[in-house]
Amino acid sequence: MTTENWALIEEIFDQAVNLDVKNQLDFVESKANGNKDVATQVMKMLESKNQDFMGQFPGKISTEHLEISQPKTLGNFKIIKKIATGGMGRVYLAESISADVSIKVALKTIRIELINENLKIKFQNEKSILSKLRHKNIATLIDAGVTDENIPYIATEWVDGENIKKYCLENKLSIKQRLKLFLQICSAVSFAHNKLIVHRDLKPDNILVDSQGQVKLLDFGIAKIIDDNQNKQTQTQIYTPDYAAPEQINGEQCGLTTDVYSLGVVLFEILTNSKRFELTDLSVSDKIKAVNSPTNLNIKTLKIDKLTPYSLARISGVLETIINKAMHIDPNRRYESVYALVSDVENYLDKRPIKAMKDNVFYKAKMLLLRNKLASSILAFTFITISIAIFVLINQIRQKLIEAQKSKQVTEFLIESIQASNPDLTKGKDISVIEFLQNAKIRIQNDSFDDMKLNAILKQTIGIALTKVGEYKDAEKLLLQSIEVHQHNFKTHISLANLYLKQKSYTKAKKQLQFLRKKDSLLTIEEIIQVYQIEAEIYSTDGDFEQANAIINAAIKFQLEESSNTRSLIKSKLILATILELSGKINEPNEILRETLEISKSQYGNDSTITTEIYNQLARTLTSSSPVPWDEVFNLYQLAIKNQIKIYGPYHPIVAKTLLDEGFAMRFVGNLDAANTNATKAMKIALRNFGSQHMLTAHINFLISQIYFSKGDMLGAIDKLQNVLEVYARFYGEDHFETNQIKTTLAIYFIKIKKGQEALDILNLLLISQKEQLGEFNKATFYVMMNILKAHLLLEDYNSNFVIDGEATLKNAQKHLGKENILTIGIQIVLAEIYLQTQNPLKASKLSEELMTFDMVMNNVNIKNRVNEIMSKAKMN
Amino acid sequence: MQVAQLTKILNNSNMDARTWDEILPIVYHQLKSLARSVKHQHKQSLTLNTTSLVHEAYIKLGKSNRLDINGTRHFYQLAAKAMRQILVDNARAKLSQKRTPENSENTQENYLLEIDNQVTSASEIIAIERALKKLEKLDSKLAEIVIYHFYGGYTFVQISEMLNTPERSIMRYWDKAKAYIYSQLY
Repeated sequence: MTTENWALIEEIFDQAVNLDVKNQLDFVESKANGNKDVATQVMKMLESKNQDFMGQFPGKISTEHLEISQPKTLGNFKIIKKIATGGMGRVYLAESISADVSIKVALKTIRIELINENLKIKFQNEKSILSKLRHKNIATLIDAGVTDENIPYIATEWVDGENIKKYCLENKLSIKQRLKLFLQICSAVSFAHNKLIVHRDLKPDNILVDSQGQVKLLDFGIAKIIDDNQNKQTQTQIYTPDYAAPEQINGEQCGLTTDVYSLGVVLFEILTNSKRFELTDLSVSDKIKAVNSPTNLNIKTLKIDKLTPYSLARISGVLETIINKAMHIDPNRRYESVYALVSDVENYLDKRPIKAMKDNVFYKAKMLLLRNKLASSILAFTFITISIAIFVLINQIRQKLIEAQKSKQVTEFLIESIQASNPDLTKGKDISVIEFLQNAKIRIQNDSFDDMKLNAILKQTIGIALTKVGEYKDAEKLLLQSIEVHQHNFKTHISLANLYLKQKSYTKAKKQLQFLRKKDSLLTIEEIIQVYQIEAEIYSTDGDFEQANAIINAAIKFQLEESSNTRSLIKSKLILATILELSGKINEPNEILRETLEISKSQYGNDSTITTEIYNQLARTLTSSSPVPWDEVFNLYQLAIKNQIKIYGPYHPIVAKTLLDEGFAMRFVGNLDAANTNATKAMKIALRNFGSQHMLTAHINFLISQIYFSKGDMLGAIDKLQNVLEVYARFYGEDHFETNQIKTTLAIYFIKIKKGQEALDILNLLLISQKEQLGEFNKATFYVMMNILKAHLLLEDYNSNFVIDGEATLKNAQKHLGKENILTIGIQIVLAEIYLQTQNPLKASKLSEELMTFDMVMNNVNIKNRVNEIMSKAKMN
Repeated sequence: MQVAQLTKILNNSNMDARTWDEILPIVYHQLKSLARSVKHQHKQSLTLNTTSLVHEAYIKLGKSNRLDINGTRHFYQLAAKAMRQILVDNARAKLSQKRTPENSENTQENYLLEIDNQVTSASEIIAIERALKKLEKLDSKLAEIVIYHFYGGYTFVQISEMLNTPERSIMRYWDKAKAYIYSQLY
């Protein structure tokens, strides 16, 4: 921003800030007078008006770090040792002095600033209520009061147990065992609720399991004592933000369902051994935002601990529904009581349908899909694939939208999209995932969602899904629309970068990343790594291996130092291996991949997705080593295919891709029948999922074409290749480098079957396009020119211009590629042949004699023979 | 530097930029040691906001040496700047500590005045600092308001007295400055 702009920005801002929000945009735009930067800046500034931003001092003096001398006695208790220091105060292990038998207690002291004058009375009142709370799963209150030194304390039964989360992990409990423990917790909470006592601070730290496997809840009712007495100005929270219900964080009325919410969080955490929300690094305002609208949590939601034996996938479905209902943002839409929650958990354990499902739209969706699957078994394949796609979609969206109203809208939208693709409604027409997504795309553009943000999320999700199936143009449109609303959404930017990378639009991809880099102080470490990874991929596919190498190595170094995410580290190493492979290294990528494979096997198992991905990549890179260990290559492909079928099912596109890779290897070693079988299988999958106009289908056709070529069936090869060309032209554009390569191959095939005119038609256009794009003296351009000469030879079309053209081409090639370049030699041989045909044996012989002086010619038997032949023919004439 | 000397400098009505730079570290340390002693005095844990800390520092300085109107004004201006420095340093320390947890020993000092993570996270402070630096180049007057109000914790009335500017204007400046910083962050 220039200083000059700033004056204008200030002026417009000062005036606009007093206007009605709805009039601001028009005003700002008219004042900015076409200066878009200025208008955007002012609008952005105006947005801050109602934000809770920089509203409080960022600093405080905290004494938590200072060791404080430990008192020896407190009230009627002798202190044995300090156990912990928490937000409320300290916890000691202590012994009762007054009782005849010494009883061990947990003694809690309360921070002095949390207390006011009425505390003593209040403590007495609460004490009598809490001491009646006798339940086998609740640590009993023994004493509470204020000492003569004015230190308030609470003494409860001492529980020698372990934090429930730790207990589950260390004893490797099954889901069922974990649920049984959870039911014990619920029984205690429910008991207290019947006496109208709310816990308000339920969290794993407050839930212990003793050596008998008995659950004990700590700190019942304590939050309330303090809360009621709290001096509001201290702004100290009694609850723990990670477990607190939205109404608690917002300072609204808390009730019994506040505990239901926390129970939902606890259930989630003991099942997954991970945190529901990672809120520690957020500011208070962000926490409030996060808990109130989980859509904002996209950065930090669901960090699943890699050590957990239960992936989210295993608890998804029914248990997830239970957790989500318990954790509903709106207290009225949660389970109305702990009892209702308990009965659904019991229903689950007894395999009965749960209540939460009853009026659940997702449930309906599943039923709809299930019925369809059974109803028409012929269409079952397609429907399975679609149902996977749709559930992936639903789950992705649901992770962002826990708020039921919104997720209901989304689901209904998706269900209607399937219905539109439902064979019954489409009169038995087979539909593919792409058609389904296209359908969804059209609908989202026509449907009016009143919630812009929701619309943006849907667009983002469908955009990403479309990218995955290769529908880049539509994906781009949706992602760009999404970003208009959700301007700083990391995932949308990174998805766009990824999309542009796949389209090989490097500048656009880099632009997306640059935007993210500007915001790097606001990104998480994992997000920064993602930016690095994709940047490395961009440079490497763009051919700048040095830069790509530098970036990915920086990322790996960063990851080793700062991140413990092994999966992401493996990903970086896979990228590094690819870069090294592309830059012509042979052993290094294999070594990296082998090493990574071991790590992945031990961490994630032999048949995990990530291990499978490495099998696949290793097989591919091994094919460029020399000699190629073919047995190992095919073995790896087999492992990969087996796993992929297990993970994704037999009709998933990823299986087709691996079959295809293996097919290319099979053709290479001459196992044409096996290659053909693979191609047929892959084609079946590709057609089912994507139809005939997809890149995957084109690649398979390319393999088939090569198989025909190897079998000597040139017409078959050409036929398939034309098909490939058609898709490439549609996908990359008529004149794209990749398309041109296919065109060149096709022309050579035509020359091989002596169809000079067909070859020439292609080559002449190709020459124009390549001269324009690559320049006149590029290797690829010379290659086309050489083939043009060959085609003319075939056609016996030797007018004088043609000879002159040939001579000029050779001269240029010698100048730009060098005399002994293989391509230059090729051109020289063709020109010699042309001289022969145009009755100019002297020149032909001169060229051949020169050729014989080149090492390249002398060392290659085929070329040498050809040159010899030309020479003898020239001499004969 | 002797406290008497500091007072003299502060009382000088015309302070140039170089003098500011010279005495900023003194106030910085003054505040830090004060924070330390406050912590030792109050054995029980407590939360003290930045304004009270600055105020205590002022009283301590004022006890032995007389600060006149200029001196008082300068002191408060300087204290806010020091507070900014302390918190930004803390935020940096905190973020680098996150990366290398082994070094947590030597950061005790930095935690005397801690970032209140509930309110603003360390990475936010760094981001705000970056935006504030930009704002200083665009409009130093606005940036100054941010330092006094956000870091110093002074009320608009206090700032208006300090700068001899109507309170309404100060509020307007604050809104604009905050809006600018917001636009750079989100």
